[in-house]
Amino acid sequence: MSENNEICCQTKSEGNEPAALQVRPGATYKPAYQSRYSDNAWEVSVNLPGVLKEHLDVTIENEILQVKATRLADTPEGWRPLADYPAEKHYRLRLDVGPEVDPSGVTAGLEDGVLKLALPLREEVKPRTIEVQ
Amino acid sequence: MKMIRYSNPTTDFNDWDSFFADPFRAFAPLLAGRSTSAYRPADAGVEWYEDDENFYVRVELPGVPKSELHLDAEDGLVRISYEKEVTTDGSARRESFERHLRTPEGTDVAAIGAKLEDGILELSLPKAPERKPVSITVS
Repeated sequence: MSENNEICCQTKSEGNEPAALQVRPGATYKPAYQSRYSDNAWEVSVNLPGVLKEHLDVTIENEILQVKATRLADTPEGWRPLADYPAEKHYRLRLDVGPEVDPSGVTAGLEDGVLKLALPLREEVKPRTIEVQ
Repeated sequence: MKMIRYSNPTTDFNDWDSFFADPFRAFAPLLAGRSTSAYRPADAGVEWYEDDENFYVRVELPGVPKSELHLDAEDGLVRISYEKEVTTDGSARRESFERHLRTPEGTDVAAIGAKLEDGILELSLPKAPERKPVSITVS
């Protein structure tokens, strides 16, 4: 299944250069991520090196959190690649967050190439201490 | 919770050739104690470029602040290291990594330049004079 591959789609440039020196126009990757539960919320960190805030799209719909991001081609003119690198990197991550997460309370921040998301639980599913009368 | 996704054996093992070529690949996510997608091959996230004056290398280092990054260069090698104390839920642990890059032959190690931005480290490695292209005048 293509969605499970690290590189799920690629396109090749059709230049006349030798294959090893071609710059591919783009490739889609599933970014590395880590998740942990803390303080009644899920904290998810997604590695998106080189991605700027304006090229990042985070949505949550039908219990699916989707992160789409693009690292644009930004190599200065005159740089010759020594291997076959994609000019643009597209990232896509889909996580099933379940019904417990409150979509309206989700917050996100991007720093040092890492997107940090906080996904708070709905009030009704947060753990409660029950006082014994 | 549904959030944690573990390795799916059918996708990790369907490429038997690569499994035998690198048997630790399949276990790396478990050894690293992280989500399966956190595993990357050794040369992933490193890109090399050159122009007439320099070699350039871009290394993906997401989550590493400039203040925590150490770079040392010696003969033919650049050592990239990072060490930080992380406190989660009241317990402190040390997070670190070290990575070595072999510099191309003829690199002027003393003049290496570095820049870290948005999780990408960019090094410029000046070529020694004998590696630079020379135009020859026809007499």
